[in-house]
Amino acid sequence: MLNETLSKKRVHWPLLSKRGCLSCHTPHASTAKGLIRGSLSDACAACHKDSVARQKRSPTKHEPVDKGQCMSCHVPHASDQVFLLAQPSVIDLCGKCHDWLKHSSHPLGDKIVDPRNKNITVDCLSCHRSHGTEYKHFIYFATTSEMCTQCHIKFKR
Amino acid sequence: MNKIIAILILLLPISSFGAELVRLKHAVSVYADGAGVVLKQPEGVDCNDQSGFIIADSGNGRLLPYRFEEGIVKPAKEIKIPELSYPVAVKMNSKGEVFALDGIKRRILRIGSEGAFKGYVDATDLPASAAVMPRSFTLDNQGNFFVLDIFSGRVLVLSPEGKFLRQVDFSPDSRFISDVAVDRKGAILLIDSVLGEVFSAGKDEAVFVPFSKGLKEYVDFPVSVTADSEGRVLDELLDVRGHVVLQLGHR
Repeated sequence: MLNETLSKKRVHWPLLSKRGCLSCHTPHASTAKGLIRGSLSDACAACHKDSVARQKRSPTKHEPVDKGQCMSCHVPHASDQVFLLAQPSVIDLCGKCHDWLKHSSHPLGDKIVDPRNKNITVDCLSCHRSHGTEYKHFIYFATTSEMCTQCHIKFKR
Repeated sequence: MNKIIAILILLLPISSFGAELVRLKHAVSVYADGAGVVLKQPEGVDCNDQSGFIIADSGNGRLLPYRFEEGIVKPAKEIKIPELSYPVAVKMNSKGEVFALDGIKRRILRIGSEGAFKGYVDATDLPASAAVMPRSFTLDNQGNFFVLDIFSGRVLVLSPEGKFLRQVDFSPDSRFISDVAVDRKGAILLIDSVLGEVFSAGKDEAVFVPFSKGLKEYVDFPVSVTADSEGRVLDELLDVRGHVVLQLGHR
């Protein structure tokens, strides 16, 4: 496990710190699975309390975040993806729970270039912030028209 | 979730209510190299005082040097060497040498001005606690290294050849340090991502003390700190959808 972890592009830095494994685990006993210190959300929130607080303020709740199921999307030890995401494709990752293809045909995927930045493609995070925003459906703007016209500029009023 | 490498021109500071305000004006964004190959999740950038800057194009496993002259970005030849697979931080010294922290090897590489691998910067003559885990690093004007060693909870100060000069241990009040900077006076600056605070230790001082507090009001999980040539401390958060640059005052 250690060799595989340390060979990834992104290692969760606390693992390499002075406290190492004890940053998140308690070695003797715990009521939580994996000998985590407290619940998984407590362990993650010890450092990432901003993300937890963001979800609390969000009018629309994202269930895995709201219930502290951080490992629904993240790999806590190491990953080759940014933000220690569990899969290379954000669309596939969100698609584990959200079968958006059945109700949406908005272009998404590796071949759809984001008009705002030619180095990235359009995926779920282009419009939604998974830990929550102060707006409904955790989009980045107060209204859907403000959101949509970030790319569809000709429709801006 | 790529970061945009944006060149910002530092405008003359204006005063407001007695506090100095720094204004940054966007000049140009860099998306690709000279051949049009786009950047992929770049995680580091550095500039010198001769209009040169270099990007750690992490996802493509290379370094990209450029020059910025008269408002135009001029790409130079990429640096792609087998010893460097995933650069996460990059610095240049006054001799044109380039230093890069490899995120997989977790070692600092020395690269010549011509782009050739010259060896690793490994600390020698270390006192107790020889284990070093570099999270970040920087250089001062004399070419000394300041290595953020998160395993031993310290900043290692090394000579340009890598010889141990001194160390400054993290403050016991700090939680998780993500970046290190050195200002023009030789003071060391650290950014604590969890607390949202900057710690500083003056030149030749042995302890870190809080330099600023209350950044949590402005940033979530700041991961980068730097000081410009005028002595201004800039704290930068690289967020998934944008970035915030805070100016924290002079040293």
